[in-house]
Amino acid sequence: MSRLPPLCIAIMSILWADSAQAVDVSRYDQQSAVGLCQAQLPAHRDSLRARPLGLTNDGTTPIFVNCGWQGDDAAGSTRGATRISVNVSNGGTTPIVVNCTLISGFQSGFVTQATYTPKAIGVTAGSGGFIEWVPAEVAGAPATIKLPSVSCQLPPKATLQYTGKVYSENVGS
Amino acid sequence: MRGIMPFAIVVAFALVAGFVIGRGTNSAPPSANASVVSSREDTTPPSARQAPPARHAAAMIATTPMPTLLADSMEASARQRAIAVEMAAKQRDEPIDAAWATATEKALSDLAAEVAVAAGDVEVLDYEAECRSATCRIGARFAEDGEAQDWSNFLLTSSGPQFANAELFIERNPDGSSRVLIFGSRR
Repeated sequence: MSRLPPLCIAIMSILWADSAQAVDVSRYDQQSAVGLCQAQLPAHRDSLRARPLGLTNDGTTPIFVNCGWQGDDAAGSTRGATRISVNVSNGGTTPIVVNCTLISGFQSGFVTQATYTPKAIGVTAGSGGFIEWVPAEVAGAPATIKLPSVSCQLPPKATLQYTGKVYSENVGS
Repeated sequence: MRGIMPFAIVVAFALVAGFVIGRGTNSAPPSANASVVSSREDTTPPSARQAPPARHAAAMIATTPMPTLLADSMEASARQRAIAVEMAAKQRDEPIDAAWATATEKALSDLAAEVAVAAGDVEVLDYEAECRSATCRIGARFAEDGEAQDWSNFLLTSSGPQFANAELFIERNPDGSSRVLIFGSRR
């Protein structure tokens, strides 16, 4: 009778392993803006300081910075983003407003179509804040944001510190 | 030993039966199982069940791989034009909220001039903005495609106070100039 427990375990293991299904695990990728973003115009590049912990506008006029994430547009893929975020801060002595927009679109030759989701955040001197986007805010309400980009207007002394992306990954059974 | 034999046979049978039954019920992927259940319960004709095609770029990408979207540039252009026409017609049908429309058109006009300077003093041709109660339509033309790309991106990045979201179309004209068309949804 002492063989009963191992046999039961064997039976249950086989049935359990066979009935197990693929599992989606939630992931969060965080990356410094220096590795993901760059100035849109050459003139803006002159004012931009690319430091390990962030991109700072050290000039005297606003500049535009663009960031692009990895995406997955495969049919049926579950790896699209469920949340995109940027962290910005104000190294100046007066309050600022940082404008950013999420962009999801395509361009090829003469064809350009893109969906924009603009947002703004007020940041007091010496502090920071997040701007976040979720799929429900995007026009057309996609289930996920598959190929996200972000464009930000950085006033003088504003820093784009880091970016974040939440998505699901299928890790099998 | 004799007492154990019948039990071992039963267990062996259970093992084989369990394996076969388990295979039978779980061999199909979850999505395939779900579609079987759904087709049994849903008696709507397939044509009526089909979701309307996506109109916004983000939603189109979410359901269709990029290579498929851009496989035929002529078809992509035609599809883009048809969507823009549809959005324009929908916007024309909106009632007018005069106070919001006037204030927003003024704010957009100021922003359009401001970002033209930021984009390197680009010349904005044929600028027009018409707001109604829920949507604004913005049109402009540029001598170069790059100017159209820079100006429209700067404008939309800075349009958070006006728009919750927006759809951008850029079309290259036969004379080399580019036409920008934006539909912005009221915040």
